[in-house]
Amino acid sequence: MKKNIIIVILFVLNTFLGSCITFKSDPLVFPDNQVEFIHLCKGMDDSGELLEPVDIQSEFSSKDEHINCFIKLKDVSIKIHLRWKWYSPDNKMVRDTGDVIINQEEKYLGVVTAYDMLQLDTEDKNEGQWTVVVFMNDKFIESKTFIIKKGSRFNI
Amino acid sequence: MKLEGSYLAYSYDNRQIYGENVKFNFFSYDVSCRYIKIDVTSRTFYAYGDIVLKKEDEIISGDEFLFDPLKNIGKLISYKEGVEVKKIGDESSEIPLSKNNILDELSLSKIQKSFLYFTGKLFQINKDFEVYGFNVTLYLEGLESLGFKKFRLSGGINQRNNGFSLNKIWYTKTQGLISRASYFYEKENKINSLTQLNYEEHSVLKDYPGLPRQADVMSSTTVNFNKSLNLGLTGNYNSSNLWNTRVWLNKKWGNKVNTQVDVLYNKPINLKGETWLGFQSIINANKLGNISFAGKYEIQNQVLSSFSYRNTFLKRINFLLSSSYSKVKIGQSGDYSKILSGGVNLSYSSRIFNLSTDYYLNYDLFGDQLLSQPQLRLGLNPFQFYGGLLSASIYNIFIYNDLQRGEIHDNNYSNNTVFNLSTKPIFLQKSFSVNFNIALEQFVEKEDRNFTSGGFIINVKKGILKGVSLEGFYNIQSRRKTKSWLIEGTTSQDLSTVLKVNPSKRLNGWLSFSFDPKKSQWRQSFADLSIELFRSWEFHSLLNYDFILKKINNVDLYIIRRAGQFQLRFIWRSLSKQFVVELVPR
Repeated sequence: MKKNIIIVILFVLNTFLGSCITFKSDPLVFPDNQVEFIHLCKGMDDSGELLEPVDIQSEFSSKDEHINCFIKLKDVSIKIHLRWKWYSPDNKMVRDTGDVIINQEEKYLGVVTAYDMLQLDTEDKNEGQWTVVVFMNDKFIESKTFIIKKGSRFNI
Repeated sequence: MKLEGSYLAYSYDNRQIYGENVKFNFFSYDVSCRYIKIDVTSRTFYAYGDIVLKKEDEIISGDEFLFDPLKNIGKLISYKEGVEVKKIGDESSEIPLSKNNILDELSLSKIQKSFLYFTGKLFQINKDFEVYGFNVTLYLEGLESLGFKKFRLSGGINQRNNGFSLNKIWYTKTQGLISRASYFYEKENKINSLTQLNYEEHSVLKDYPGLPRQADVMSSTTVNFNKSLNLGLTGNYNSSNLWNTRVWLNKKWGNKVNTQVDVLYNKPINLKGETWLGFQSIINANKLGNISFAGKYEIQNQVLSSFSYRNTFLKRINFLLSSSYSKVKIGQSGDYSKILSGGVNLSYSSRIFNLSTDYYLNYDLFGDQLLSQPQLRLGLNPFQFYGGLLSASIYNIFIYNDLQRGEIHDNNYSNNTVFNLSTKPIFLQKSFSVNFNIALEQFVEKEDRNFTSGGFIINVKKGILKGVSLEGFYNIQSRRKTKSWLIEGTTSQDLSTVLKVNPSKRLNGWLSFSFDPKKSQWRQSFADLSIELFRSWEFHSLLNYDFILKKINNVDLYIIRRAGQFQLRFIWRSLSKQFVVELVPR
């Protein structure tokens, strides 16, 4: 009986292994995406060595004074240009930071954090869906949409 | 759809694809992009960065491209002085495509943290959204392992391909040699058939007390002639000579009527087989109510039938009328039990109270026994006072039984009243709260076997430090039998305390002790600890100590890997002295 069991196991292994397994596959180009994350947030925690986003959300109130777009990059070893563009609900650009230079000395940095802040005029009608777009070295890297709702600055 | 890229990764855990410098075809365009994200489960496709769509002399570029390869529609977005959106594909159609949270959460680092993921330069997604990879490398918990020339990456746990599959061959010291196999055939929207074979060989074990071997075959086939007519065939066989088979035909007559006829043959062990012919229909007549009736006839003159009518009047009054009749053989004797039963239920519910009346009738024609049972239920919905701090409810049920058995006539009645009062947590200090619950119950019946029950629970909660809290419960329950002046009964008490520790997302635990104040005796203690280790690995333990027996009753230890569509668990149970490895689909 044990002999039969071994034969069955060998047959099954042969079916799976014989058909498709290789032990060496083509080398790949290492992925170049350095973006760890991009978040929209209300506040910033600067108590540690690096900035951390606080109150991450995608919905804000028209009474909020500002909105931050926070980016975390990894493995940066060259000078990079970051740029934020903010678009209002009618799809018009309302803020363009221009290029912000990071790591001018071209050192190796394991983690880089940066953010841009959109100031809201609480007297304006800001309600609707907004978009913020982040570019790195003139190339699009990510967009984020968020909603601004009519409301109070204070949560009840 | 073929994806070619400098780097493509597929997460088996989450059924998601991430790619860099990718080229693919869409609606006769050659598309290239810097990055791509695909969530296979939700059919979400999103390319971004340096998007270029080429077709003969036409070249379009943009920053983001959301598309649906099945419907051939896409949305190309460019961010300049304003946001520009261009439809790609069918120009006339509306584009409901938009970015969602799934895409925000999908990232290269998320895929690389998967328990199982594959990388390669060429992936293929077919119309059934199965993903194939060519010359792919498998990463197991981040470690590079085997390579595959061609591999079905999305071969999920619940997916089936047409044909025969050997699902499991296993050997255990307790069950012997086990094998599970199945045959699946599906023709989309036409035929669906699954046959499963389970076989256990016990003769390889020494001193196995049961049968030397056992086989089960289960088969189920459905044929859809059209959307409203389908035919089914099921069959089950067990090697102990137990089997059954059923053929059914289901017809929908519009949205309101559904009819089914079926034939069932059932062969129990060592008994004569039974052949049942059945018919059932459900009529949904909207405002006129729902009617359902079912009848089954067995060729040895057995009958089962039922009828029900349900309707709602004036939005708050519910009416249900039901009736059933059965004539079933009693063993091998040749006698039949004949039972006719019926009931009427009328209920009314409002914001303040609910009222329900029932009348139930059971007539055993064989034993000449008639039971009729009217009931009346009246409940006051929970009402709140002191600004919602206190909540009270009262519920009453009255039952009258009338039993006639030949010459004997008997009746009795009972009434049960339940009162409940509870509070929301009352904060005496910022981190110190108390809440309690009182319940009283009075049961009265004709025979004077009356009971009075009461219970009181108090719960105290105190926050000690951030993420550390102590809770105490005291519970007293009393049940008294009252007959004339005699009062007897029991009282039980329980005092327990729980220390909860949750200082961070990675650590979660509690420790509880229970004490019997009446006997001044410690009873049991439970401890539970969860620690998040790394890369979605989690350690979990559960311990139970019995103070009365003075021993550890049980220790369960778990190491769990949460991995999207499945969980891998290593479990050790001290009680059964078992080590178990489980792969559980989620």
